[in-house]
Amino acid sequence: MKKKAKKAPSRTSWRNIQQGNRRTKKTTKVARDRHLRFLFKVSLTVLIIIGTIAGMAYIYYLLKTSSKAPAPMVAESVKLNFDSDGVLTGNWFRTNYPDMLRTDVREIDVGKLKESLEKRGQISAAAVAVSLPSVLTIDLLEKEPILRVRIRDEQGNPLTLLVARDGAIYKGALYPPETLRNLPGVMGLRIRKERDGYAPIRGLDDVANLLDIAKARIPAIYRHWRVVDLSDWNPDESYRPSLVKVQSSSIEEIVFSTSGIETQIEQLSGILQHVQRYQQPLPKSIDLSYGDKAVIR
Amino acid sequence: MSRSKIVGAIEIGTSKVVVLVAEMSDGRSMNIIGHGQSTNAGMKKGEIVDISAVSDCAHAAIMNAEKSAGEQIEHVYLSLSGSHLRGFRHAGATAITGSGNVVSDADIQRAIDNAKTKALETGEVYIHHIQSGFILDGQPEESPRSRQGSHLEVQYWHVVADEKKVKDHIMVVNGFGLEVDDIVITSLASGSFLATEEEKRQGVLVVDIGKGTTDYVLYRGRRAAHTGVIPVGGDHITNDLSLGLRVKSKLAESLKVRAARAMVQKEDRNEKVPLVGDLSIGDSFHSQLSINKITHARLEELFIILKNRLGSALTRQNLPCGVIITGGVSKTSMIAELAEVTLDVPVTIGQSPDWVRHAELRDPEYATVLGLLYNALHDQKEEASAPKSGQRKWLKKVTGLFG
Repeated sequence: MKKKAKKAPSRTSWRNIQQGNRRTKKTTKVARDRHLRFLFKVSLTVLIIIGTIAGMAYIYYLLKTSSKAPAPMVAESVKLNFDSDGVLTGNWFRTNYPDMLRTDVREIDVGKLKESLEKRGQISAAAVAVSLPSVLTIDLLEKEPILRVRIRDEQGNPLTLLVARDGAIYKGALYPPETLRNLPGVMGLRIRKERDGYAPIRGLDDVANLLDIAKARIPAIYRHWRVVDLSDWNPDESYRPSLVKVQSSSIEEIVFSTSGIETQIEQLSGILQHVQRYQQPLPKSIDLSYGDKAVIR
Repeated sequence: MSRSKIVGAIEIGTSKVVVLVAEMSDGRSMNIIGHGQSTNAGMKKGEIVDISAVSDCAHAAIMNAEKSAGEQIEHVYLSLSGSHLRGFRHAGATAITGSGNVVSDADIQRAIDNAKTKALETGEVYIHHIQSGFILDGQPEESPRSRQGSHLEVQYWHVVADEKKVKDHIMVVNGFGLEVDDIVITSLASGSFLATEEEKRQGVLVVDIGKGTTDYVLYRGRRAAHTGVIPVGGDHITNDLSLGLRVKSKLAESLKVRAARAMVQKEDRNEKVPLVGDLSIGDSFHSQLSINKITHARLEELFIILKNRLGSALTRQNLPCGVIITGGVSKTSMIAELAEVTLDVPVTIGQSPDWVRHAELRDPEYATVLGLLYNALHDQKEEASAPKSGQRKWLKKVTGLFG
């Protein structure tokens, strides 16, 4: 039925009448209300679209970072009684032995767990006990680090290890950054890798003793000790003189012998008091390894 | 991807505004999903006399239709009536200039352009150009393309309207925030919907008697050959009853709807009709004979006007399929019989096609608005076959999710 010339209106067609559009003033309240509802719906739609996009972006971000995210919490079936004289906590245990608290307490091999804990360089002794129906008690004695050493791992990345009084070398956990910062560094040590960690340094007691006495008697001087050089140190009796060289921020080098440590510390204290009393400049080097004499430069 | 459109058909009638909302898919199917209606005020004989009142009524109806559909209308088809509508025949002619006197597309287009360029009176605009066929060297031709001849003529029936009155109708729709996609005069909307293709081919007259006007369209050879508007409708019967029986207009309207018959019969003499009809104390009774006589007189006059307007076109020979009456007044009892006697052609009351499933919409009052949707579907079929264009209204679809 061809009755309308819609596509090409003639000059006098009704189609040439100027019509309003969506923005035309709404003449009745009903029309205005409808327009407001339309605007509301458009705004709501835009907000929902933005919310959806943001939500999707957040989910994408979570998926991307999920490998770094902590494992989801699973209810523990074993109650943990954890105690330590050092810095380790119950949460450290939960992170490192996650399955231990989610099994039947009767299945925990107490001996194996104790062995596993004591293999960690930071722990000197562990007491492990199980109480039925579901309590695991762990009591730890931790080693105290006296030195820190920087090495490179297999991938060549820098790695900081701690050296305990008994010569054990380990990666420390949960130590406050301040504690680590105040530890003197050590150089001249030969660090060997073992199956589960690093081979301990034998005979380090005399070095630990030196540091303990210095810390106790001359804390103001000890505070500036930065590096302990053990290049000329050897615990063997046949190797003499066994020297410990300390680099400090105020004195370039202080050389100690491993025998007669208390006397050497007294000598060092006397020298520094003398310098201070007569307001002399600080020596660059003090060698205390010659018995009752000191070489000062 | 299916191209679905939400189309609203709006009929701003003298007594009421009717809005239907339909979802159309690729011009293949139409699903009526919403219906809104409100009593109209501010119209007289199909023309707007108080645009503010009409806007209030129309917007309420559109709002209700959108609410019941749960969708916002995207395209609007608007019906138009009123005594300002005028139809006339005007042909366009051209000489065949191509080689071998073969009619080309350019010749046809030139003839069509000539037919459509008749100057109108000031303040008038074209509503429809209805093509009635070609005449090539004095011989009717369905499709003159590639035929030989020297003179081509194309016949058109043009419908024009008062520009200001058309603007008023458009402004009512624009005031709601919608644009009018197409305007269809009431008679064409009803006629295209009620008359079958076979009836249109053989010849049929569709008469839509509304409250303020009577719109008619005469089909011949599958095309609308004549349209017109008579400014007489159901309101005139109501007025006549009000004056003749000396009752208020509202009660006269009620009497008309309840008891009026178009033919006078013997038994009417003894029948009495209660004025209010709710058995209330003080209710008066009126003679059925008086009511029928008044109704008969007015309707007979209407049919005589129609007969005079159409003249020889309204005969049994020229209208083998007779007359189809529709519109609110077609519900008047025995109106078909009166029309048949007066017009001397077979008369039937318009029946909605079977595809109209909603029982309520099968009422003759909805013929116009359903016809608008029928036209919209037809237009969309043409669009569907045309290349896709325009931007997707994705935002509208998304916002539709929130009611």
